[in-house]
Amino acid sequence: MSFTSPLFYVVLVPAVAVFYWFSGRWRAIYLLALSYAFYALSSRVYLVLLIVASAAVYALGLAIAKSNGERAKQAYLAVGVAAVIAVIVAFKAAGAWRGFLLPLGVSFYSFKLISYLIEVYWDDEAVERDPIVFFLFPAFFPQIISGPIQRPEPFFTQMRAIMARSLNADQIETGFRFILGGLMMKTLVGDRLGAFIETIDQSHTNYSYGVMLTTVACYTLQLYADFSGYTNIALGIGKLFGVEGPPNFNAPFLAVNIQDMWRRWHMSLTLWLTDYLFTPLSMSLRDYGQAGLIGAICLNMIIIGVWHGFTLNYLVFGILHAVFLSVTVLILGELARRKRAAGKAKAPPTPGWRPPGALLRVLGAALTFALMSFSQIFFHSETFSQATSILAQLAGAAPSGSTGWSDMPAYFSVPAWICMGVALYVGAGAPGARGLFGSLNRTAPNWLQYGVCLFLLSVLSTEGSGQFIYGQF
Amino acid sequence: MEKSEIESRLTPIFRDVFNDDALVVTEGMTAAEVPTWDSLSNINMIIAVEKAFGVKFSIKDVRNLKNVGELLDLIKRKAA
Amino acid sequence: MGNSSEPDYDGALNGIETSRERMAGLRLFGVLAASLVVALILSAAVCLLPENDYQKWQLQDPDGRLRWIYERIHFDPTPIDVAIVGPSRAQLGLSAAAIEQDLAQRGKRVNVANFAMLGSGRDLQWAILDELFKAKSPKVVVLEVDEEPYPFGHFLFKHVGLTEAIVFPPSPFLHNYLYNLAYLPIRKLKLFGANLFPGLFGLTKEFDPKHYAENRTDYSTSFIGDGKLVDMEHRVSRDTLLAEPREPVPRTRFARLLTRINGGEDHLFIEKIAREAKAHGTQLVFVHLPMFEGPRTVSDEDFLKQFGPVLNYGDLAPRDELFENWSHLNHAGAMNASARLADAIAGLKL
Repeated sequence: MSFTSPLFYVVLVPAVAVFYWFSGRWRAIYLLALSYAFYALSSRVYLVLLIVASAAVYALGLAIAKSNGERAKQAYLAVGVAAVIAVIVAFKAAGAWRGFLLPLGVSFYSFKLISYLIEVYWDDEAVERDPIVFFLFPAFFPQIISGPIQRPEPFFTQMRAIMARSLNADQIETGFRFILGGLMMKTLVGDRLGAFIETIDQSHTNYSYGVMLTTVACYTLQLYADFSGYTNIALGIGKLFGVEGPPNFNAPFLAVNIQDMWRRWHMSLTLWLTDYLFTPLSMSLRDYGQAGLIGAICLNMIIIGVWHGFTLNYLVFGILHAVFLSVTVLILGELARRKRAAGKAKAPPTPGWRPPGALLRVLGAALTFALMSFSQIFFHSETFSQATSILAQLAGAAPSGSTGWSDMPAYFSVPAWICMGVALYVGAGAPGARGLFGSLNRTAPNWLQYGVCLFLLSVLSTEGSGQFIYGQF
Repeated sequence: MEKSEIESRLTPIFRDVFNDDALVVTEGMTAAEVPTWDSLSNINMIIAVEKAFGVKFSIKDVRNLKNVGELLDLIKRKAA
Repeated sequence: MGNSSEPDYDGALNGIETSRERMAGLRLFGVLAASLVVALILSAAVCLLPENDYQKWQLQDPDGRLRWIYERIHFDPTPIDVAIVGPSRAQLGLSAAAIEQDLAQRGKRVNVANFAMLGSGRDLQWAILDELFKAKSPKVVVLEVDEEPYPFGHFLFKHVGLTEAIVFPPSPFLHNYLYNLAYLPIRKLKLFGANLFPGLFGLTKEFDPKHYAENRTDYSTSFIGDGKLVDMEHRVSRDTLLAEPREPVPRTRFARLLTRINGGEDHLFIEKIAREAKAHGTQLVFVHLPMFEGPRTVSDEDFLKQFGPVLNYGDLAPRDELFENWSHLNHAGAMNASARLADAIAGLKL
């Protein structure tokens, strides 16, 4: 069941009502049953995998907490992490090389399970003995499809809280707002941009250089609109059940360099990798100085790439960001060193014009966006040859077509531009929106605002057009 | 070593690693308050602290540090 | 708690907690319900907007067959004496030009228009005939019928169906009722915008004779559909035809239940067509074009007989030389069926 289908919400509303009709532990049991039922709609076979993996990690967690020796703890941790990673690798390899369909959410719930094992290894207190609460952690259906990847402790704490407390009307209403906003972003902006991009991609050599350049920028904007929209829906549904999840985005288009960008983009994944891969790895490699740090950065970014899939495109994406980030870190480090050296020497200020900080930030943001979009050529393209073909056209190595903006019908290009503008504005933190919403909240009651949003959602979403009607011949 | 002494020795290290000459180290300070304190500068800080105080931290040691105060306790424990 | 004689303060507090919770829950439901009501009112209000019919028939595809059908009816002064409606079987399997020629040779000047469209669904055919009766006076309407009536509505009906027909269908239990209804506000807003800015929306208000003339009207010869060549002349072997996957009509339990309740959408709309035909003095004729090696009988022939003769060309089923694929006749097959249909039309007392 998709988070964008109306039928899902017709079922969700009574499901939430029933959740609060239950009290205490029954809420968790009900939520677990609901999550498994949701998963079963996708695949009953893979539901068994989810349950088995959860059971194995649950048992290993208890074993780690119970054992006294460091060796034993390490052994259990190694077995658990290796097993989960083996499952991910097996499915991703099968997916990339045999076109196998991956189990729903395997990349996400497996990371949740690994983080749990590592947390228990670091601190016995982190163990979760309540099986219902534990099994809910990887299965929690609002986060199962595409995250965000929540940490064990905040989830367990909130689960216990929701079992004990009454419903929080404000939280639920906020959840509803998140869902509404997320749906609007995903279906009105993301899907529309996606349709636009798909049309251009199919015959990109026909289009002019300007159009292709804009389309590549659209890759980033569309991914942001789609994924941030989905994330807000997931967070919103979680709030309906009393669970606050971690954010995935923080105004990514304000990032002034690549390092900053990864602190603002798909945050739940990057923070996961930072805490469980980068930090331990860089700690072990700290004796190797700069080289060790760069090594850790590169491995981190390559894993971010291939986590999405074992394809050449994702690998190149990871490598590109490894390079971007390493270069950024080295440059920023060098600049800081020079600045400190200049400061210590108390040299007179260098004469000449220094660019104002604001201009530097804007240039930095533009460069960062350009680098991100460049890497998106690989992330977005279906095949490696498609990516190189687009790259060749942008590099001028292959000819561009003649179809420019003025050659496209208005009903095709105008909505695309509007969507691009919205995605860029929201991705830059929506400056000024707070004030706008403030005055809006003072004039219109909440139900009126929601009603208008629901209306816009129903009339502005793209219909499932593109029926392959001659296919029957 | 007293915590106040550790704190005063920590200040130039922090100012160097986090690139902020005006930084004032307090016990309650967290990474969230310092814009330049991220996972990368954190590692650099750990390395610098280890070198300065002649100690070696494990991942478990640094993982659970919630604020600078806990770091001071950790240094005090290790240096003893 | 228990048998204590003291007043149950804990219970009272719990009671206040649950009642506060209940109040909060009810308030939330109220907000949700109010939002839905607002959205519904706005959607309903939008449905009251006027539509430009010509633009409406361009909605699904500004260069498509529906537009041509509308233009043939309203802008082409040539009368229409015989109109054919049906799914793609009739679109490819019957040639209006061949029927006209055949009848001309018998000394009868008859104008034939083939309005068969790909996709099954009697509601769209009714919408086309409804439009036809507004501007022309056909003497005969030919409806293609399959071996089993199609249980669902046409997926394109939502684009051209009259607003009243969508909001108040012959039965509230039509399979596509909600699907069509949900599209109505979208269509109204699009047409509202198109009425004000036709260029921006790509839906013209002016008839272009040159564009009209460029339309293909006869699909009994080879043509290109969705970038693929549909070869109507090439002989396809029996084995190839038999090996082709047959698309079954999806009959889920829910679909079957709706069909039982609404009595069959195909029949509902045939009844509507029959009423309009009778009011206009038009004769109805049913034609069965079979699938390759498909059933030769029409299962609801008794129902259909009350409205007009049922011409069963089921005997064509085993003749592999007449089929382009498992469900469509090729050029030779179309000529065969067209000749027989012309014969039948010639025999009608008009």
